[in-house]
Amino acid sequence: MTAALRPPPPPPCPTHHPDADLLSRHAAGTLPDGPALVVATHLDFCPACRRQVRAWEALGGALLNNQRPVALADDALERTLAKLDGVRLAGAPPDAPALDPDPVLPPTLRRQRLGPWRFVAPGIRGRAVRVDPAEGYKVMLFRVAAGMTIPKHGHRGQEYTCVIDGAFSDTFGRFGTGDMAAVDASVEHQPLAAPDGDCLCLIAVRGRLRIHSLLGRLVQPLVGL
Amino acid sequence: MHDARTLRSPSPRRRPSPGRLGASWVRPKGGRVNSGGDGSAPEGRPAAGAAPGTVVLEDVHARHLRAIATQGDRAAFSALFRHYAPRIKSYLLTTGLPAMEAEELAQEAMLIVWRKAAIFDPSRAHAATWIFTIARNLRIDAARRSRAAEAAVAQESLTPPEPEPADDLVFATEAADRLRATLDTLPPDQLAVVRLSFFEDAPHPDIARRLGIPLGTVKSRLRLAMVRLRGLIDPTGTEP
Repeated sequence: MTAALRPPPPPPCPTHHPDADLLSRHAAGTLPDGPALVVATHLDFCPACRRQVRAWEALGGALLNNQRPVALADDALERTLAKLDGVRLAGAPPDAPALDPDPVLPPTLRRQRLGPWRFVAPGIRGRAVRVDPAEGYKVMLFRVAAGMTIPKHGHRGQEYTCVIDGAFSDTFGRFGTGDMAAVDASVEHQPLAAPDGDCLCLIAVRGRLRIHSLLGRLVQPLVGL
Repeated sequence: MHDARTLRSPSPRRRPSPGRLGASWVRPKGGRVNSGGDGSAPEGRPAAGAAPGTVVLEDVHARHLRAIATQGDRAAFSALFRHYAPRIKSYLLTTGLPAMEAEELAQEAMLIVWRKAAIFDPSRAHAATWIFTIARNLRIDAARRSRAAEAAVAQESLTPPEPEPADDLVFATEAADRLRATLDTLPPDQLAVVRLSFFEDAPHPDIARRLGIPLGTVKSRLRLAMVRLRGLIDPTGTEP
């Protein structure tokens, strides 16, 4: 909104991180699409967690080397060799194309398929992020106006959030750009967008949000969560 | 294949992890990690069949990749294929893929190794790590395809980004060396549990059933192994 007037921001230095369980599952490739996307978004902001993911990947490499070999078909090498001609690339392939032009989005999100901005409630707009619905997660990008409270809500399943711009606070503290939160079904919270600017955040939830306030009940069918 | 312990692992450090989510295979229930009476990790267990070293093997593999990138060296590719394709197939079987698909994807992974050899950078990752990430990404894509999801969903986007210049690359390769050295010191029964947990994210009861051991044993083996591995991966701790 006022991006053009703001001074260039310092590089974000997230203080809320995914735990080792999430990072290791991300590195192993076993996270469902929704949380994987939220973790990948956090990684765009967080060198410390990228480093840990690399280390978990190194565990994957070491385990791969330790796997008991399982023989392939007798002609597997031969057939693979026959396919090699003409497929070698001289240099690095181009990056995956950015599908979305919004410069405030980190690279991971710009490569996603995002729906149009829609009105969700006064002060709240949202864009759907297309992920494989078979994995049970819905992913949305929300823009919450400065100072707005997101209605108090609980979750049937886990909720994963990464702040992309601005900040919000809840009972767990203040979450600024790059910060990630993961809360489970037992948690009920009422996040509050910081007063000094819109809060843009990515949220993946499993199951429907359970919203208690009247506004929430009005919002729920619109959000589609 | 048994790798030689050419590097000594530093003593593992414990980090409490007050995470906000429940189930975890790296985080034992109850918060305390190393308080059990059975914390006698077999530090000095000799690596069976210790040969002159995987560090050398890594160098050989890195040279093969370079030869592929610069000269299209088919002999180098064949050597990598013989080493990695049967292990990739084995890994894919561990994750639950049917044999036919594991065979196909293992070959496809090696094709990608050929295709992308030019972007492999030995200062950023070991060959085994790089090849693991290729196989992992293929598996994610295959799972997505088999769920008949939309074919055009961005593929690379859900996998961790390439390292950036600012990243501490030395840490990653050193951690890899220490991890491998530590893996070589883990007893096979601990290694089996770690493998199923990491590669497959299998729930503990599943692991117990598949390995034919009690649930409590799964948990204690995992705890023993992860105390050592986590200390290498995250020595500082960055959790909330």
